[in-house]
Amino acid sequence: MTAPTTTHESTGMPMRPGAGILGLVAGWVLAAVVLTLFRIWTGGIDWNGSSSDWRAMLGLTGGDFMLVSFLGALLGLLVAINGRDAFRRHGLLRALAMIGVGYAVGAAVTMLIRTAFGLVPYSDGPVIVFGIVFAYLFYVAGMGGWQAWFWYAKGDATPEHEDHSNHGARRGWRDYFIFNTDHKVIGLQYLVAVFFFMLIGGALAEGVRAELANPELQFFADGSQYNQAMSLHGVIMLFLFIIPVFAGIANYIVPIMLGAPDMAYPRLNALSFWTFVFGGAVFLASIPIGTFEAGWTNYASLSSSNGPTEVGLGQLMWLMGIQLVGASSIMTAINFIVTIVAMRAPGMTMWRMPLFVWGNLTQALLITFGTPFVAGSQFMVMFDLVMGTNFFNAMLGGDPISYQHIFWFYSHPAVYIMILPGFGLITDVITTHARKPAFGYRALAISTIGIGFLGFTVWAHHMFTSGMAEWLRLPMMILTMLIAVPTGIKVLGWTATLWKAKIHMTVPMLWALGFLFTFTCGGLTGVMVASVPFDIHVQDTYFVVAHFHYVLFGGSVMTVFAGIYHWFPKMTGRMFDPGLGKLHFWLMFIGSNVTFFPMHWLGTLGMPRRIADYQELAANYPSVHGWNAVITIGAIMQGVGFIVFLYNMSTSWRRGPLAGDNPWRSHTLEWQVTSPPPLFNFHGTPVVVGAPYDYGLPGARHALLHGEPGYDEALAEALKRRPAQPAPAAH
Amino acid sequence: MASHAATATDLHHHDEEHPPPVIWSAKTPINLMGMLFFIGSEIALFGSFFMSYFFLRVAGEADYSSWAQQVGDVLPMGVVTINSLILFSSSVTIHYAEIALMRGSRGGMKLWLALTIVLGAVFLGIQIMEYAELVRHESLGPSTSAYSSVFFSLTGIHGSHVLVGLILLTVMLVRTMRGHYGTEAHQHVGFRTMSIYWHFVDVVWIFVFGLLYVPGNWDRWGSDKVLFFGGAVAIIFLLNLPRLIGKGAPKH
Amino acid sequence: MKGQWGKLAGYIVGTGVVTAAITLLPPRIGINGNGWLPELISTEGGPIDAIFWGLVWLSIIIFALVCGVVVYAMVNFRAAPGDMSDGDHIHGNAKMEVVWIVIPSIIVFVIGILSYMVLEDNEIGLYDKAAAQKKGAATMVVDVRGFSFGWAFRYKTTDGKPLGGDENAEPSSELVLPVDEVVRFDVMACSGKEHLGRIREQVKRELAAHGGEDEFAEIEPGLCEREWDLTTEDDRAAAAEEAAQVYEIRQLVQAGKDLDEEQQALWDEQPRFHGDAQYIDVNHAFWVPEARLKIDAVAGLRTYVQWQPDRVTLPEDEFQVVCAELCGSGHNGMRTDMCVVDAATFEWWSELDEDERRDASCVNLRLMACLGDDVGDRGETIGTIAALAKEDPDAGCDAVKEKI
Repeated sequence: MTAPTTTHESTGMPMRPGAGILGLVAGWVLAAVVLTLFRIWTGGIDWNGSSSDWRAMLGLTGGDFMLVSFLGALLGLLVAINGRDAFRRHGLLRALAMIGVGYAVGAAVTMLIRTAFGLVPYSDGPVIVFGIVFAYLFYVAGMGGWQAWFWYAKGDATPEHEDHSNHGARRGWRDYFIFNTDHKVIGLQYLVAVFFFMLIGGALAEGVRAELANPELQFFADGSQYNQAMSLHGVIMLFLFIIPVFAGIANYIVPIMLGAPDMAYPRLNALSFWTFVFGGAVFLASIPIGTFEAGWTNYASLSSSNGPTEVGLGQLMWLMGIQLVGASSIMTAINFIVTIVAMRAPGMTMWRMPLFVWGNLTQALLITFGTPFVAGSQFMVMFDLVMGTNFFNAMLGGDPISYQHIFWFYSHPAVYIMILPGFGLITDVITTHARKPAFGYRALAISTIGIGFLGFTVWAHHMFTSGMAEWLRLPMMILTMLIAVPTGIKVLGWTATLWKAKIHMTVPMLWALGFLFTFTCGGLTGVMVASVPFDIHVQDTYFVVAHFHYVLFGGSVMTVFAGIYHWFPKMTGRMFDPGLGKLHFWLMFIGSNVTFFPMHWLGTLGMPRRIADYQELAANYPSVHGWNAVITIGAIMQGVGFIVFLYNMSTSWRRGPLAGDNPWRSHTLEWQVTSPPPLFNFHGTPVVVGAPYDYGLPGARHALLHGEPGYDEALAEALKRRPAQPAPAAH
Repeated sequence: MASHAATATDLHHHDEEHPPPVIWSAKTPINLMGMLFFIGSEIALFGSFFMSYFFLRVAGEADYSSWAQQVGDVLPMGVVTINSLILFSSSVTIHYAEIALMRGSRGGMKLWLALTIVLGAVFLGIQIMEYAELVRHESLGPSTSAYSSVFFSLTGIHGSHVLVGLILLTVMLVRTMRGHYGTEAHQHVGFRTMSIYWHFVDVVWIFVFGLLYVPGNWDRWGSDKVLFFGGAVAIIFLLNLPRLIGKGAPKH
Repeated sequence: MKGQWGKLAGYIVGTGVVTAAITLLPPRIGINGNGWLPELISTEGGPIDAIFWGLVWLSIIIFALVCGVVVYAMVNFRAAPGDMSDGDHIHGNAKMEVVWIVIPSIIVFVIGILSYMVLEDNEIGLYDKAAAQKKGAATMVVDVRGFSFGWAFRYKTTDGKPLGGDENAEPSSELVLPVDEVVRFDVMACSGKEHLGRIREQVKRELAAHGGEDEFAEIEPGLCEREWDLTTEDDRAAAAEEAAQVYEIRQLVQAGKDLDEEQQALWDEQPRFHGDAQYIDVNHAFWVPEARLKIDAVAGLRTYVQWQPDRVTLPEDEFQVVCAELCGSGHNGMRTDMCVVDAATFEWWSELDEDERRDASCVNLRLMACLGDDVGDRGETIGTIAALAKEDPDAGCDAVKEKI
């Protein structure tokens, strides 16, 4: 391995705590001054105000002040640490500065255009929308994300493509904060980012539970604040955790599983990640100015008209955030599809791919063709808010129900987007730790595709009580229930794989077994709520909350943790602490069941979801209070479990014992290379010679690495089956 | 054909700083494949707005054609027809540019490409003038009714796709001027990719035009109808003309 | 091998017993003993509950089948410490897969058909106008309006004539239903001026934050001040005109232009002109958990649900109409009382005017139900009961019987 040839001056610079604090304070003060000047300029200051609080008079209290000063302080801190030349290079620092510049440019452009059309120059909606768009474009420019494409457009050579200087983590942690094109770096970037988001989403859930532990309002100030916490919890967990966490794991694992050196479009990959981070930041930035409160489903017309409180701005931030996160998701999905179709190693036929790859491929297809629908529905809401269109305004012929149709046409497949990779992942974990081939490999793969296909045909089962056309209910009910069939095949596959196996009770295996229990429960309640008459009773109640938490937490999150523990040794080269891992599992497993199981009882008993207070209900049915208190205890257990997990991961990453290349003795390709894998995954293309899970067959190999005995013959054999090679990427 | 160029011997030569050569498992170049999936997701995006149109028109109670008639009152159908034909014919010009590229005719390529850009820009210009006309004369803005929302959104999103296409076409023109692209397979993948996108933008317009402008204006369309369908036939004929006279893109 | 299958069956039965115990017992114990389902007051709810319990038992059995095997495998197929060997090389079993496809398919089709039969039975004449005269079809109609954040109810015959005969009677803010009559609910979200409802909430909150008086206290909550829908051409034209007006005035105000007198008047008196041009109400959902049926209230769209109350509510039956669809900051409080009374009482109640209805609230009507047919003059009795309930909010049947 060649030693890093260049050392940037600043990378060797020591941390200077004094300067850092000074920069922080200076940045803060500067931001406050700039904002005050802006307020004076726009006449936003009430000089004769009766308020005695000078800060309130100068307007230094609102959410926008918090945002601006936070950005200023962050910049000041980074400048102080990194020195003067910090802005000369592409990187996070320049990107942060560019966010401010971009927002200002966007706002200015908008105001100019509005002036040209004879409108009042300033209006919240358009300025925020275009401000965020420009901030995003400038931010990526600051990261250096457009550079290569710009060169390409000009017709220059694209040096990055040749020298791979932005590839891999060769200079330590700093390489995780640049526009890095290495899929392994991007995978870890995703994972760290999504667990950070999960921490926030989890904290919000704990807040929600703190509120609901007792009747009446005690934790939140009003229903509005509760709705914000609840909505943000949902959005963060779905769009900033579950969906991208699989992008993270798959980014790291899938190319190696396929025997590819990287993803098909490395730069697009990096762009998706940094877009995702920006989208997530937009969601979080809406907190201080009062975020949206329409729930993650964001139903019109609650979202498209001004709510009881002025939710407009937070709502716009959500709309922009979802567009960015969605775009990132589509970019990643197309990247995965092309990688899986075009970059499989010689000998890797479709029927030799590990099931995680199958899950990922199906997920990517669902994202590619589904996510534009949620983008479309949110565009409509945005147009309704900003341009005053009438998509969902019944007064002028709009149709509030059509929102639900368009939204669920995506968002039902989204449920499978959130779990199909998990299905594949769990098969990898179970086969490896139970030392047995997957039971019915092809059935498992085909059922994945089957679930994905059926997923597009059942959206209206979320709308049995919405007032949609009543004849739609019967086909939707039958089709929904039919999904139980391919899902049943999967459960059969996993269960039968355990039969006559050699089960090692490792931490990943614990999670996989826990998943079998909780997911089966979630799947069965899924059939229950598909039954229209029963669903009419429990729609929008805690029964539904219980159902989807069993599927998403008991299903997806369990598989995520199984995957994280399974591949942690591969990603870091070190072993986690199994004791803490087991503690984490039991806290989470018991905690989640204590949390989510009583919700079934609450729901059937008549507790609607998304309510801040259940005083009147509890007066009539005291057990509503009892169960809510129990649920809060379960939620606390889960919180403790998550802290144990974070502690385990962060300490083991630095100080855990070395894990070796293949601690689980797995057959798939990613375990055949070093831990962590080399810069381009393989020293020479590997060749795939057999099924991925041939445990129990003496001498069975899934793949041969370059240089192993028999490699040349196997490669020659495999190359015969290769299609004619397409033209390499043009320049 | 670069089939199996990377043979076993090539794979032995590598170093740490460069990836081993990829042996592709698909015939289609990845640029093209990515564009196809991207277009798939674009179809879904337009699909969501068409879905909204569908719900308003089929499930809703108001009558779409009255809105379309209001549009027809302001915009002469002849202008709309000619504008559509302008956009469709840009598909022909980019197709000819591609053929010129394949046949190694740099001059023809520049000419047809520039013509495509001009046609696209004219389409966009007329589109913007239509907007201005609608808003100014009759106060038919995006917020007038649900249908007006769908109308402006769909045409607007289509227009933004045309705009993006124009920017990319300009980039291609600049690169053509600088002597890029060639007759070899790996030298024109990018060009083909872009021309697929442009055809897609044109095809979407068929649906936008057919669903947004025509209902309610069928009678008023009158003789322009002949112009439209005649033009469409001519364009289809022109698209196939090079192949018919044996001057199409050479096969690889 | 024989013993293995017997043992497996034992595991499955064991898992089933444990699952059934966990599922069914906790809601019967101690303060959490309210069970799975709330009380039942509708005929339609019976088959729904039956479907529910069927599904619960089916789920317990399937869960036991799957997880019994998993538990068995966990116990019996553990690798001994240090055992590095692999499990059996079993790739799959096509017969088993086919069985596993066919049986669940049959099960879900059976569930689907049963569910649909229940649904059909519960909706006689609801969507199918031809069946509107059949037995089981609705014999009266309640117009339900949801607004942020409350409910309003108007009572009509199936021909649309108001009960009590007064076209302009104020709607009731509580739901009172006659027993044993199939009632169709025509549900819609309020629109137009009902926007006031949410403004009221907002002002209330602001005032509460500053410790001020509630200036809306005088406004009777639960009024739907104007009813509209877009079924006729005139309605649509009027709605469009009004929206255009709002839009125009807001544009003028935003541009800092002067308003003429009429516009100024509209601007001053209509708070919605100050907000967004879209001032329709959001979605709500009309739900009485004890009846097991709900339907969304959507602006501009009439939705339907029907059920037949099958018994009179007594003082302990404190049932409520609940909003089940997130509708904003006051969502959790969007509830109102409901009660079921006998036919004679309902007839008497439906002819009361606004002031008289104040005493005839659901709380008092439930107390009156204790008396059965011996109510005497209902107007007098309800007055007595109202006084009693004011004195003693926890008064039950005994207290009422004693008093009367």
